[in-house]
Amino acid sequence: MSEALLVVEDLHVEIPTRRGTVEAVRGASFTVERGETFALVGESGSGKTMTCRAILRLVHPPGAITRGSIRFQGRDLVHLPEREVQRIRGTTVVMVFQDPMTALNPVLTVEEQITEAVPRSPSPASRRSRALELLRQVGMPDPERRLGAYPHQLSGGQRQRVMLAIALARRPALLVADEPTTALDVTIQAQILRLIVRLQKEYEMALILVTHDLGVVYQVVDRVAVMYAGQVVELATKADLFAHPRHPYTIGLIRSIPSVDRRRRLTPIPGIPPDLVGLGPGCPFAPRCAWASDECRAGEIPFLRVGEGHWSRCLKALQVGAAADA
Amino acid sequence: MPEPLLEVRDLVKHFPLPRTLLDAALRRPQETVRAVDGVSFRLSRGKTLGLVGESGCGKSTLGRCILRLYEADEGEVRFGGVDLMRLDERELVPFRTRMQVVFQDPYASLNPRQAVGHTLLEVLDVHEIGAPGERRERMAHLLTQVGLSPGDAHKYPGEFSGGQRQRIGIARALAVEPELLIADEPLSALDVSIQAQILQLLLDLRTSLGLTMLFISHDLRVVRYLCDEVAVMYLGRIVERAATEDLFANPRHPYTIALLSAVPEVWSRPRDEIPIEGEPPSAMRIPRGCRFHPRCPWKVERCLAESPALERVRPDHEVACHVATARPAAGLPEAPAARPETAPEG
Ligand SMILES: Nc1ncnc2c1ncn2[C@@H]1O[C@H](COP(=O)(O)OP(=O)(O)OP(=O)(O)O)[C@@H](O)[C@H]1O
Ligand SMILES: Nc1ncnc2c1ncn2[C@@H]1O[C@H](COP(=O)(O)OP(=O)(O)OP(=O)(O)O)[C@@H](O)[C@H]1O
Ligand SMILES: [Mg+2]
Ligand SMILES: [Mg+2]
Repeated sequence: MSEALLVVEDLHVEIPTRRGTVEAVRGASFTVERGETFALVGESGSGKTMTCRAILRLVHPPGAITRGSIRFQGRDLVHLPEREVQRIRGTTVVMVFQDPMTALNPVLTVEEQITEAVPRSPSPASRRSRALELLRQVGMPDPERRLGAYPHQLSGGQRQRVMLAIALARRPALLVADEPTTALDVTIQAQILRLIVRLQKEYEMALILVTHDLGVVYQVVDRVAVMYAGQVVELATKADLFAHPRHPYTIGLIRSIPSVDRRRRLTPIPGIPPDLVGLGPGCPFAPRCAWASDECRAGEIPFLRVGEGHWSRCLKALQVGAAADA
Repeated sequence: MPEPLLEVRDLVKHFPLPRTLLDAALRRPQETVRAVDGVSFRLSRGKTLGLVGESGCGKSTLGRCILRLYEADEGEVRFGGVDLMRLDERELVPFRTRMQVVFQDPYASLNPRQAVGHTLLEVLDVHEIGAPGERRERMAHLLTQVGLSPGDAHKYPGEFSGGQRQRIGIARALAVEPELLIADEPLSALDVSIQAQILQLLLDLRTSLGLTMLFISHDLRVVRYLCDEVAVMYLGRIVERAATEDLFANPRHPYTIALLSAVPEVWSRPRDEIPIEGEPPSAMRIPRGCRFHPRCPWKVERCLAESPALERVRPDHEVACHVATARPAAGLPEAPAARPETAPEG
């Protein structure tokens, strides 16, 4: 079998700071197949954005990838010369950033920013009509009139849609989308997700979707990686993850999901996430975990196979799983 | 009826449309975006009103007008009986403590060159909250309340993730113990676990401090959990307002119904979304009659001509829809047959 489109193995990203080294990503591993929809979910601050940035080699210095490999279409992105990476970035791999206000250029109009991304085509007029078409596809109201707008003249959700239009203009093989629909209402969210899914089929585009919305995960993705404290702690198909979670953090996440149908009591996970400076050995979730015992606090926790295509970084995965399934 | 803490009457805010060179060359007339186009509501002390609606329908603009961060074109904003629109900048100062805001975009609203502990201490100092000797401890407590650790005080905004920065914004707003908190999408950048924690915090503050909130959100699930009442906005107007349970149990406006049907839920198959037809609405050329009619599967003749006003259909439930108010007890007629999925074509 040929290798997956993207293979991330034992990825480490470290950021030196005055307080010490922040271990933002501490050994993340996963693969993404051609055309697949893959979700990265997890605790705020767990390294989802950093992982995405690493894939595009966009970690800001002094932060750096310190270990591990990222192979995309068989090529090692970690060691590729910057010029090559630049060519890949923005053509075959494209990222939509979490914060549209800082990622958009405040002094360029919407039109200027989108046409810049449209592959060189014969005439400015055709680039303009392509920009219009893209704006329409992402559900921008009055697209003709928004071409001349600057980012600050748009609502939060409109900015997010401009970001998406720019990304889709490039027809990438892999779209890395960091919270692309959080500022959007559900009807437009549904529309944009349908659009992305359609384009995925059309271009065989793979998607890494970073999201907090487990409802969205449930409705659109194939597989899910759950991150905690810089590690992937659970990796499974969507169906397995929701029906048979095998990590205590995942179970906590699932119990925290609010619903429109039922106003049940939410049970937040007690405690706070660990400081990523000077993390000792042992499971970083142990201080918040009801199942934790001495062995959990002792050594490295291996990523254990707990089922077909299902992995968990928990020594108690089987006990935990039995309790969750009950 | 006790006087509401916040009352908004017929608020209007229009923006001149950005003009392109082409517009100027063709001497097109200046157009305007009717971002907020006649909004009225009352919010009682200690209550939480959820404001939901399509992206771009004017929610953030409404929030900013209430805070006088934008000058509204028309209407009144009364806070504790005082019309804020008549006050000058100096007279507004005390109100700037009593009302606080958490912005939608946390990146833009924090000073990147200041450690966040310093930012919080400065807020406590300026507003003279607590005795000077106790402020450090208070600052640490605020950080803990929003799920960060006291050690985070030394970090700069750039050292935090998106969700962490959002929480700093919440801590800063809560620092001065405001009476009214306007929260613009405060939870959308947070994972559900932290979200649950902050929801719990807001609920607690409501009980312990009697905090009043205007909670702007796209997430109907969160709104249902937190809010006493919900107002649904569409193209600059409120089209439905009701007690939360009633809105979710008996939504009446076609837009609300569509909105509820589109919520992505876990453990439910994608439900039959009620299709909203047509182009997204334009806040520049607002349709005649009911502003929702071009996309409404239930529209009748009257909707094309006459703009519906908010009318009471049940106790504590108002809706602006000719079809819904004609059948106050029954709700809308049978939903029109679901259309084949319409992928947005370019
Ligand atoms: N420039 C920086 N300097 C120091 N630490 C940083 C920096 N940027 C991020 N971090 C830390 O690295 C960790 C990972 O951050 P990242 O942005 O990847 O989180 P995330 O999972 O995307 O979170 P969120 O869901 O809140 O966006 C966080 O704990 C954050 O505090
Ligand atoms: N400074 C501005 N200049 C011109 N138009 C503006 C300005 N601010 C907002 N608008 C327009 O006013 C309308 C309402 O914007 P607003 O930000 O209030 O929407 P919103 O309901 O908060 O949307 P979202 O959910 O996407 O944040 C939008 O059409 C937007 O493009
Ligand atoms: Mg992030
Ligand atoms: Mg907004």
